[in-house]
Amino acid sequence: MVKECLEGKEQAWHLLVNNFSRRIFNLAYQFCGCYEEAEDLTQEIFMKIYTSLPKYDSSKNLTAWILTVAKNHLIDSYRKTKKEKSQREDFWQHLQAGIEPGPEAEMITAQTRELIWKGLGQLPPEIRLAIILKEIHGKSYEEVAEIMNIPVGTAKSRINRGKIQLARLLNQEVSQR
Amino acid sequence: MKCAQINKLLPVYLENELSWQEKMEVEAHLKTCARCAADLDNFKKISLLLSSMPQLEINPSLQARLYSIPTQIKLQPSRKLGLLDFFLKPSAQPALAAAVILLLFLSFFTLHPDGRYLGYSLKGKINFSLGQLEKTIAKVEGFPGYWPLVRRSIAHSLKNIVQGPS
Repeated sequence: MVKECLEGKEQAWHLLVNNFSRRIFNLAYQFCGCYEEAEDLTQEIFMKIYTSLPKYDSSKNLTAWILTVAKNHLIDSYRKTKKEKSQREDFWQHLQAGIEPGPEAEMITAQTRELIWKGLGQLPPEIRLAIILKEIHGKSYEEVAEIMNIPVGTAKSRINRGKIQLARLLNQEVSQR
Repeated sequence: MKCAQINKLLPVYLENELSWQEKMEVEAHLKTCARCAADLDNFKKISLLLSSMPQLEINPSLQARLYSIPTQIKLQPSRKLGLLDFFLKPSAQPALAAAVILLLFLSFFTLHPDGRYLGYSLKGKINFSLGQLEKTIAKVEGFPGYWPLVRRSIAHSLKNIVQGPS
């Protein structure tokens, strides 16, 4: 696919966009918490992917490479703008409609969902991204480590630290009730 | 183990990544501590909530913008590494750092007034010692057969070269 993209084949680029656009957009949205900003970030990430295609090493995993480009851009843009991401949109503004009814959904109150959604924005960017990749996108510790270019042990400790921080938020909520 | 230590192990416990001994300790603690048991429920809730986070569909207008990226940007073929790129390579950084330190060290002798003085002083010592050596040789020529004194004088001169005049 990458080779054909480099040869200028439009279909190959469309295929790449179809395969990864939804994943990248959701990653960006979960990271920044703002729909419009996520759209801008997605476009910037795909521009970066397109311009970096000549550097892609075909012996490596394409998904991991694309997610690494996305991760680098998300972290860089966070550092450049220094925009405080605690100002996340309300959970129900876009995400509430996507919750599928079922026993799992009933177990968790809307208030808890909102709390965790906002809590994600309070995590340091590297920890937040590791949590999103592992818990929301279902990546293994090894995959998270590869995407984030860190040792597996570091990935594990970041994810655990993030979960402990989110659990503290839940505890605070319970104690305030 | 105390509650704080157990709390840190709970996410790892849920991932089933604890050692057998740690697992036993956590389970024994959970049976007697309602607070930690509640924390475990929170960790479960967090994992469940995050894994069931809805995935949004992408806006068709954004999809169209992504399709059109190749028409906006012309790809540059991968260029070969230039001289500047070579110096910017991470692997070259230790060598560059060592070169900078060496140049800095040399600059103390070549640029700093005290450094120059040190150079002159060293040169003076060498000249003095050579002079001593020449005098000794002259003495040897004047008193043939007096070798023990000559040997001591030469040894003294060489010592002066190395350690400076006593």
